[in-house]
Amino acid sequence: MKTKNKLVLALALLAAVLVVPALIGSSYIHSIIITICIYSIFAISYDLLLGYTGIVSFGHTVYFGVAAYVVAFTTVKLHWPFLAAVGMVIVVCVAISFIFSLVTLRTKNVYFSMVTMAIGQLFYVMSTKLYAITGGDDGLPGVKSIFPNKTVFYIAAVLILVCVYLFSKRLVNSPAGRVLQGVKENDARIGMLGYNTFKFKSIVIQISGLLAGLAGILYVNLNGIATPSILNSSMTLQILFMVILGGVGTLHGPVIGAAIMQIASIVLSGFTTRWMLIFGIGFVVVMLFFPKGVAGVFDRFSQPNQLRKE
Amino acid sequence: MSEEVLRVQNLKKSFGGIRVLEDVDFSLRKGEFKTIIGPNGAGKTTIYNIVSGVMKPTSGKIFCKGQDITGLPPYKIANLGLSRSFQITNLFPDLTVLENVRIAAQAKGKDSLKILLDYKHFKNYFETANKILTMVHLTGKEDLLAKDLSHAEKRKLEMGILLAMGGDILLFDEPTAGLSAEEVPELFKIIEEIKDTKEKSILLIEHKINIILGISDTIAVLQNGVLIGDDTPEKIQQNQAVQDAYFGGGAVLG
Ligand SMILES: Nc1ncnc2c1ncn2[C@@H]1O[C@H](COP(=O)(O)OP(=O)(O)OP(=O)(O)O)[C@@H](O)[C@H]1O
Ligand SMILES: [Mg+2]
Repeated sequence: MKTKNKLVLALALLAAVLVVPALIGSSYIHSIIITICIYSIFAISYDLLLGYTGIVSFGHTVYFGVAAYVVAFTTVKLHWPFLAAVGMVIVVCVAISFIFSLVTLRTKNVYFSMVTMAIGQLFYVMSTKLYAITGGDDGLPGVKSIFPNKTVFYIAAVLILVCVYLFSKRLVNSPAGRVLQGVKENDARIGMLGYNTFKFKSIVIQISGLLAGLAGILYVNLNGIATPSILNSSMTLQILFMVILGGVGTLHGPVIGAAIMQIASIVLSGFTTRWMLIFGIGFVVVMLFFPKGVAGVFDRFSQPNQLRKE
Repeated sequence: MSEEVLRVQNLKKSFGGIRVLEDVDFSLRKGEFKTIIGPNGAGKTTIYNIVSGVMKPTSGKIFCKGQDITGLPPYKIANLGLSRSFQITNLFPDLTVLENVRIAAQAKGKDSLKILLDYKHFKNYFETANKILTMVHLTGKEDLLAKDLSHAEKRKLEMGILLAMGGDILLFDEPTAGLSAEEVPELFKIIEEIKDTKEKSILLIEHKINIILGISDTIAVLQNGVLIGDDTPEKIQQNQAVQDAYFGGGAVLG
C-alpha cells in the first residue's frame, strides 16, 4: 500500500472508531473500548522496551499500578486537584524508572528480569500491607472520573492512544530509536561504537514508564478504584501476552493484542470461569504457528514479497 | 618523529592467576602502521581488549593522545577517536548491511539523542555509510541482513563498521581471520588504501607475515605475553630473539 492510501485508511478508521460508537451511545461498549485503549497504551509502552530495546522487564506494571494508587491517594485522601495528582505521577514514575535504569547497569538478561520481578513483587506486597496508605486488599476506592461522561472519556481515550502510538512510532524511527535497536541487537558493540548505552536505556525506560503511568491514570479514572491486583506480576504477564500475541516490535501489534485479550476475556468468561486456561492454550497455538504474532500474519498478506528493510 | 597517539605502559594482565601479559610496553605514533604478530594465545587480542576498555588491566596504563584512558568505559574511548574491529565478527545480525554501517557513522555525529525526528532526515550518515560500503566492496548488498552475508562479506562489514566510526586510530584484529587464500588480498588492498590516505594511525594484528612485512612501518612481536621485539620490518627480521622464535627454523606463522 502507498503511504498516502495508508494515511487515508487510517484517518477513515479513526473517524469510524470515534463517530460510530459515540452515536450508539452504549456505556457498556464504551467501557470496553476505553479499556482496550488503556491496555493498548500500556502494551505499547512495554513494546518500546521488549520489541525495540530488548529489555525484558517483569516489573513493568509498577508504573501502571503506582500511577493509579497515586491518583487515588492524592485525590481521594488528600483532595488534591487532578492535575496536581498527574504531576505527582510524573515525579513518581521518573523516580521508579531511575531505579529500573540502575538495575540495567548492574544486571543483564535473565538476571535483569529476575530483579525487576522482585521489585514488582515488592510494590505488590507494599500495596497489600501498607493499609493506611493503600487500603490493603480492599484497595483505594472513590476516585471520581475527570471525564463528564463515558462518551467524552471514550473519545479522549482513543485520541490519547493515537497520540501515544504516533509518538512511539516517531521515537523508534528517530536517530535515538535506531540506537535502541542496536542495543537490542548487540548491546556491547553499540557501546564500542561510542554510544553511552546506559543513557539510551535510561531514556527509553523513562519514556516507557511515563506512558505506562499514563495508562494507569486512565485506568483509575475508568474503574474508580486502585487495587493490589494491578500491581501483581500477573498484570505484567498479561501485558507481555498482549505484546507477543499481537506482534513484538510492531507498535500496532500490542493494540491488536490488547483488543483480542479484552474481547476474548469477555466472550470466554461468559462460557467458563477458566477462560484464562482456554486463552493460554490459544496463546501457545498462536506462538507455534505465528511466531510474529497477529500483526505478522497481516504483514505477510499485505506485503508478501518484501524483504525486511528496517 | 611524530607525536604518540597511543601509549601502552607496563601492561600486565592475569586471568585467575595466569599471567597473560607481562610488562607490555609500546607506543603508536601519529600516522604509523604497526603490526603485532605472535602465536595463538600470545595475548594480542587481550591488549586490544584493555586498550578499548572491554577489560581492565591488572596493572599498567594506557594513554590516548596524552590522556590516561586506563579503565574508562568503551564508549568514552571510542569517542576519543579510537576505533577497533573484532577477530570474531561482531555485527548487528538482524539489521541491514547499510544500517550496520550507518549506525556506526551516526555515533560520530551529534544527532543521536534526537527522539522526534525521522532518522532518514539525517542524510549525511547515509552518505558516509554508502561511501564506506563502496570502499569495502559491499555495494549492492546494502539491503541484506548482516546475518545473511557470507563469512568474507561479514569480515568486510566488520571493517566497514570500524571505518564508519571515523576514528583516527584504527585497531584491526585479524581482519582476514577465517578467509581463504583467495579472499585475503582483497581485504589487504582495502587496508593499504586506508594507509595511503595517511590520515590514520593503524595497529594491526595479523598472522600472515609475508604480507605484513611490506605494509608495516614497525612490527611488534609478542610471545607468551612478552614483547620480544618492536622495530622496523628489516630490523625485526634480524632480531635474534625473533629469529629464534620464528624465522630460525623456517617456521611459518599462523
Ligand atoms: N576472558 C578471558 N578469561 C580467561 N582467559 C582468557 C580470557 N581472554 C583471553 N584469555 C587467555 O589469554 C591468553 C591470550 O589470549 P588472546 O586472545 O589475547 O590471544 P591472541 O594472541 O589474540 O591469540 P589468537 O592469535 O589465537 O587470537 C589465552 O591463553 C587465552 O586463553
Ligand atoms: Mg586474538
